[in-house]
Amino acid sequence: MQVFNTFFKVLKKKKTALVIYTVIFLVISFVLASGSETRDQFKESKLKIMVIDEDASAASKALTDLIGKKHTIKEKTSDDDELTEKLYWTTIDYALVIKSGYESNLVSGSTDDLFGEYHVRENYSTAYMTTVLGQYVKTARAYLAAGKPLDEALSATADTLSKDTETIYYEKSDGSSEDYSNEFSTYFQYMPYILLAVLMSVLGAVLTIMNRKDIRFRTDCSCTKPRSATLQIFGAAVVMVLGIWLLYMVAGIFLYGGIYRGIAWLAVLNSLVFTIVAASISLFIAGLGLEENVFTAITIIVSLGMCFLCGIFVPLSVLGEGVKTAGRFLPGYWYVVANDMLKGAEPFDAGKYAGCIGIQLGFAAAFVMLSLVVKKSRKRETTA
Amino acid sequence: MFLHDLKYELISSLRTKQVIIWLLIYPMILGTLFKVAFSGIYEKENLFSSVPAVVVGCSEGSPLRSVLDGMKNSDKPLLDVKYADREEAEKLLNDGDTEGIIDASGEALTLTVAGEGMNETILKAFCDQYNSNAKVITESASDPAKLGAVTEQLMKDANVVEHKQLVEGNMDFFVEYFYNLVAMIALFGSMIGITAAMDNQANLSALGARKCCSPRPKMLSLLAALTARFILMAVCMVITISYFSFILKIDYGERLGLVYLAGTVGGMLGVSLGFAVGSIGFGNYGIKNSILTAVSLLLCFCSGLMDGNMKIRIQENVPVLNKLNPAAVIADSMHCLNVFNDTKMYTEKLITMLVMTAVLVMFGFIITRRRKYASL
Repeated sequence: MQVFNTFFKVLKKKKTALVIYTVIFLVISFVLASGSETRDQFKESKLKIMVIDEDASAASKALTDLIGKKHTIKEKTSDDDELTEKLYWTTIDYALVIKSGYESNLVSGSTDDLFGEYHVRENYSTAYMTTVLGQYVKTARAYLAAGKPLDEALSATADTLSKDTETIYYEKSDGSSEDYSNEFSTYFQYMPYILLAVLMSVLGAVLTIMNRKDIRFRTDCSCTKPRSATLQIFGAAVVMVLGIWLLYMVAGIFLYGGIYRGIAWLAVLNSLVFTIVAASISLFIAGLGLEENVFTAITIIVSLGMCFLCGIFVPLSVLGEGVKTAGRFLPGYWYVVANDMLKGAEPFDAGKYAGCIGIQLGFAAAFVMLSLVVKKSRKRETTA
Repeated sequence: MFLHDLKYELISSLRTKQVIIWLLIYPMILGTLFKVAFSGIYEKENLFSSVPAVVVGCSEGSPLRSVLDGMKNSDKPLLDVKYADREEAEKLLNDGDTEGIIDASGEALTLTVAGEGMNETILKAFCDQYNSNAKVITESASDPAKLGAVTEQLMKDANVVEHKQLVEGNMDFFVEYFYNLVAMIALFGSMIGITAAMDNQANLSALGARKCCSPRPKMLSLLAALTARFILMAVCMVITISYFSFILKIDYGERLGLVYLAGTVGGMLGVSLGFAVGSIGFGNYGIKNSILTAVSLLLCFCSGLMDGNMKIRIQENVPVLNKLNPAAVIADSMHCLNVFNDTKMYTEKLITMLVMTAVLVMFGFIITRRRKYASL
């Protein structure tokens, strides 16, 4: 068991990365989960609107009050640069100017360009407010045409436009369930990154040290048989990898609010399979015998690269077709496809889920084979 | 003498693998991944396109049908409408192929949605508009003489809003990530800045001890080391910005020369930060490098490298932090070039960077000057 124990002695010296990654991951996960809320009824989007009232009339005040009932009225800015910044960063969604002469033009019926509007990009807020303002003016015109005086027409307009359409919130029957909520699924969504980063920087670093030429030669000439040494390293690596995976599963239980139920177990299985993949990638890269600098760079490139290309950081639905096609050649993609089915982003299909698990295991087997080839060729090089 | 030192400082810096990996390869790979992941999100998520909706219970020739048909002919129709029965409509909503179902089978329109957002809010605004028109017409029906005028006012097009775009630059919010990436590379320049100080201080490195024994003026040696790193950093910044701009096609605007200048001055600021920390008389290279890397990443986090809205949250709560955070100042200088037509804000940011650089270099020189050692 000497090699087995040595593995954990080396691991103890490399634990900093494990602690840092784990703490950051868990803090972010708990913050994300605590910020989520379940929905059962529809709520309209509330815009942040800045109103510049150049008319300062009863009519303009009535409009501002009506807008303020549904949206948040923001303070006026002091100059154009500040306004541009606020619109750019969307701290203001819409800047409305009620032009001078608004009330008299409304009464006289010359309603073209009654308002001004500033924007930096033609977005949904612009389209929405154009519709709302158009409807306000049309309704007020109609009441005026019906013979109501201005104050009554404005009051009737506000009353009519305050009536909301009956809106039903539709619960999608897409396989998502209380057992694996959308909010909790984000924990498993980001898990491949943490597994790759931790296993590559910890397992990879330990294996790199254990594979160092001087240490390997010393072990080879000791009374421990090479086969036994390899098995002990393998056993220690398995214990370590499973330990790290269990740590995240236990943390997940706290986030979940109890023992996993129903479909959530499939997410647990998916994460276990990806842990095997991440361990096999670490094994392969550690076998290359790279310098520490290059090893760190490769760790970052592989973990970040897979997360960006496979829909871990950015949802698959938003990625372009080309990126998704490239992602199919990476195990992370299949993890995300399985997770998307479990959380209900895609319809659940047991056969497809099993396929995703199988492909990930295939990747793991391929990396193990590759690392064996690399190990053999490096052994030949050093003995030659 | 100075040129001789400069030449060898350049050669030795170029042979450091860290420079190539962290100042060139790493940002290029990260930039490529940003580009791959974020390209197209802006158009999909921010720019308006007609909202897909399914209408059920709407017969041919009905008033709703004529309103929707009329809408189709406009330049940018509000809705992209399909007609279907309830079952098919629910299937489309379930599969995410539509944003909502407008049901016209009752007296008033009703809406069914499966989410909350601007798309659903726009659908509701359309239904509110249609229902309020119906209400006004019903109310006016009691006076048939005025019904025609009321209906005319409701149906007449109302171009009530004059739109004005404030700026013409690249409004893709994701370009901010690339400004922050440039800021991160600039601050990573601190890695090479540390060695400029440590390799010249007898109590911090063996090379420094050897240099201190030589008759060469220390100021000359330090200046050469610092200048070499400024040059190296400028080259790294120019290569990286060129890669982003010409290979990844990131739109930095028409004033690319000023972007290069901002990046170069930002790089000098990063090197100076490393030089100042490296000059402090305790801690080995590993500790100082780890602290600076962590500080650089924290500063970049505050300026929005990991979360695009972080800088604006800080701006709203503690604005002075954004003025003092070197990463935010570097990223802001490029942001100003994109958003504002004049260079007033840009110049302000550039001067801030130069002042920070000067202060840090002075700090480094003051700490390292006139050091004498009885023994080491």
